[in-house]
Amino acid sequence: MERIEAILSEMQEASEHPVRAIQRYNTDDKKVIGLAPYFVPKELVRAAGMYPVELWGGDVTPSEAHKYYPVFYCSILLTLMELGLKGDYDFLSGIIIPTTCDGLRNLEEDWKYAKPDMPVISFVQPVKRSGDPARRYYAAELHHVQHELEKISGTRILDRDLHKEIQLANEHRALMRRFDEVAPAHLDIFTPTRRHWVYKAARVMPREVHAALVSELLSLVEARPAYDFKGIKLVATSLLIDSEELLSALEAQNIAIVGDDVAGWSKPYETDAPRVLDPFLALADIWQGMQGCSVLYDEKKLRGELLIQKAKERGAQGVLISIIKFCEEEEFDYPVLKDEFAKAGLPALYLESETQGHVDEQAATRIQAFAEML
Amino acid sequence: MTEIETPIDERTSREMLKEFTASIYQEVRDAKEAGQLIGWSTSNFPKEICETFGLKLMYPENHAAAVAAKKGAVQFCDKAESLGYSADLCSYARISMGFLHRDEDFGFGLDVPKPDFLCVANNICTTVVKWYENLAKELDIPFILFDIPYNTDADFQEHKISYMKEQLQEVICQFEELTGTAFDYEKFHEVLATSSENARLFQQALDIIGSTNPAPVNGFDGYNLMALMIIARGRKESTVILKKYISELQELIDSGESRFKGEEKYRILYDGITCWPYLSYTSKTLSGMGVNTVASVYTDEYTAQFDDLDSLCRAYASTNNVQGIDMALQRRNKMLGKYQCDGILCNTMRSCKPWVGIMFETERQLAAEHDIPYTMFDGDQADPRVFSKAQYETRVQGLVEVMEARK
Repeated sequence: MERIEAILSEMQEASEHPVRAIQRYNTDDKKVIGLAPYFVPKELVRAAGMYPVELWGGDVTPSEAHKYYPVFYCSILLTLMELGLKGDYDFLSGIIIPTTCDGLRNLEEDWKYAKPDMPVISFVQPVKRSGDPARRYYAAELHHVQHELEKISGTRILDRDLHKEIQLANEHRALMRRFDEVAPAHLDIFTPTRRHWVYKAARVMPREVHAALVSELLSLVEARPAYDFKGIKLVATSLLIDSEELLSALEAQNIAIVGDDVAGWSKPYETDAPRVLDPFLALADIWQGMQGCSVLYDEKKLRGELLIQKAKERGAQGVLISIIKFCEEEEFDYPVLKDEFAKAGLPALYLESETQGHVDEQAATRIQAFAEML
Repeated sequence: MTEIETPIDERTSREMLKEFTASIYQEVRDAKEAGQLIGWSTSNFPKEICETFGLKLMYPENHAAAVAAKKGAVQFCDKAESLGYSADLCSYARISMGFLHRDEDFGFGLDVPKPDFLCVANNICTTVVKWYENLAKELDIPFILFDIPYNTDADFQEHKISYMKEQLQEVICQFEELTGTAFDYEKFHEVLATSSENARLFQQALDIIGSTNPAPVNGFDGYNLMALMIIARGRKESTVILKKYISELQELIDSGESRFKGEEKYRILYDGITCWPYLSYTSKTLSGMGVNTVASVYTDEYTAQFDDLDSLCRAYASTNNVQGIDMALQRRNKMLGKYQCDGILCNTMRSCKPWVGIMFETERQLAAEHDIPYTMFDGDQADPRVFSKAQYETRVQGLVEVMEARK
């Protein structure tokens, strides 16, 4: 148990102090590249010999950011810009900003003017996620990212190196999928907050460091008997759940998370790249293979069905829907999800917050009322 | 100015436009009643393909704007919000979703049947993708997507245009499957020619308004014609109306008259979608202060011309919200210079995030380059609840004072 605690503590440290974590793990003093949401392949940055770090904004009150956006913009966008303007990201050698949603399109453009000294690499993913034209276009756009990264690193990205990184990433993804399956049997260890640390640490840790820690964690945990959890089990759906206040409020009501489709948690690990000759097409295949996320186009809208299925598999009694206010993608999915969960008899705990860092008292009350209802 | 053959029609262009617009909605209803497939389409989908197939389309953005102009926005927004749609979402989308679930007919010729298929081009926003996903799910109908990549540079990137070209063939195949009929490529080129001619005429009309000082009409005229470009861009009837309108402009100029109420003291660029529920009020407030909106980013969206597949793709990649700041500046610089604008008025539309999200920086760049003032007001395209007449008047007054001081 001591070693389990030590591993989780290291992950907590990386989650809460990302800059310190980068200093600790970036022993070769590689150039650091920031990756804005959503789903930028880290493999490409690593194949360029650089250090990828996910940026999701943070716990800061927007002030300077309002020079670019009115108040009715999502917290991820606002706090990313705020932290950028404050200089918190000045250690980066460049930033990749995909245009996955309207807000990110804006961010990618505004960043060029807000931070003129920092190279901004646009990554215009196709919205369409099926068919050869979309697959080829994704690869072509990724070549654009490749060339921009090469300008920063001063080295070529070779297919051989990218294949190697894809292979490592597949292994890491498999490990994280195993974690997702194993953790619900050990809810004494993996409270919502601790489960969160495992995912959040991966945003800043080098893949091999994170993989080694998760691998060790799993072997230690799997040697223990399954824990008979008596509380409430939920599956969670969101783009980002980053509030330890929220997670603590869940814990206070003896609520556990037994599965999720959260872009900042398990979603990036669901889909592997196939072994094909062209590594750029392999990465396109990940993009085309992902399902069940509000920023990924899906005319069949399978997100609800997938969550209901996961809830059944994991024995969840309900679903947590956590939405960051002003996120249109999430706000459009909500009416559909709400109806589908109701039809499936799956109680939904709906929480909306203006910032990703905090919950208000109303949310704590809602959580309590939900727990009492169940 | 290009010589325009004056069409033989006793009606004014305004009367012709009103009748034709109403007939388009009726055509959709008639087609549905006759058992034909009808579609709902985003405003900048390559409708020339549907026109070639003879498919009738309804345009929910245009429809929502018309509903809002008839004071129907609040009831349908409320309806959508009762279904779980956030009040922060696009008001066009909320009106449309609320209208779909209406309890009784709305009237004004705006009651449209449910669609059998959906046409979406994401060159206006990514919001439409989510909005139409919900329609497709709820109605269980085909979703035809033309994916137009966002332009982050000053020029189009070839791999993006190639992607669009390849998709167009896919889209045609989807329609062939949907309708069970083969695509008529010859007819398509005829429709393209009509569509492009209409865009040229629309541009010509806007140029006459913008380039004539003082302008022969109130710039708000452009919004009426823009509706035509959305719902009937590929139709020859539109050509007749546009030519008629241009001939009317020429008559006004020749006679030294203007339909602008009062003296045109200031000429401005309007950035953003107009506030449809307050169209008359905003127009009169401006004209009351001697301000004419001789340039509009919104109307300029519908002027792109094309004569082949490549230029067609570039045209549909030229809409305002699929372009980053570099292209946004090009579009606005062109109008500010050509139309001799004294200032810029911006609608920070509460529910059109993609437009507003680069508006602040764009305006800073424009003000610096052209040394002209700009002001912003809080409004929306269709939800009347986020607009304040007092704030609007104060902001416009402030803009006028600065423009006056710089004269």
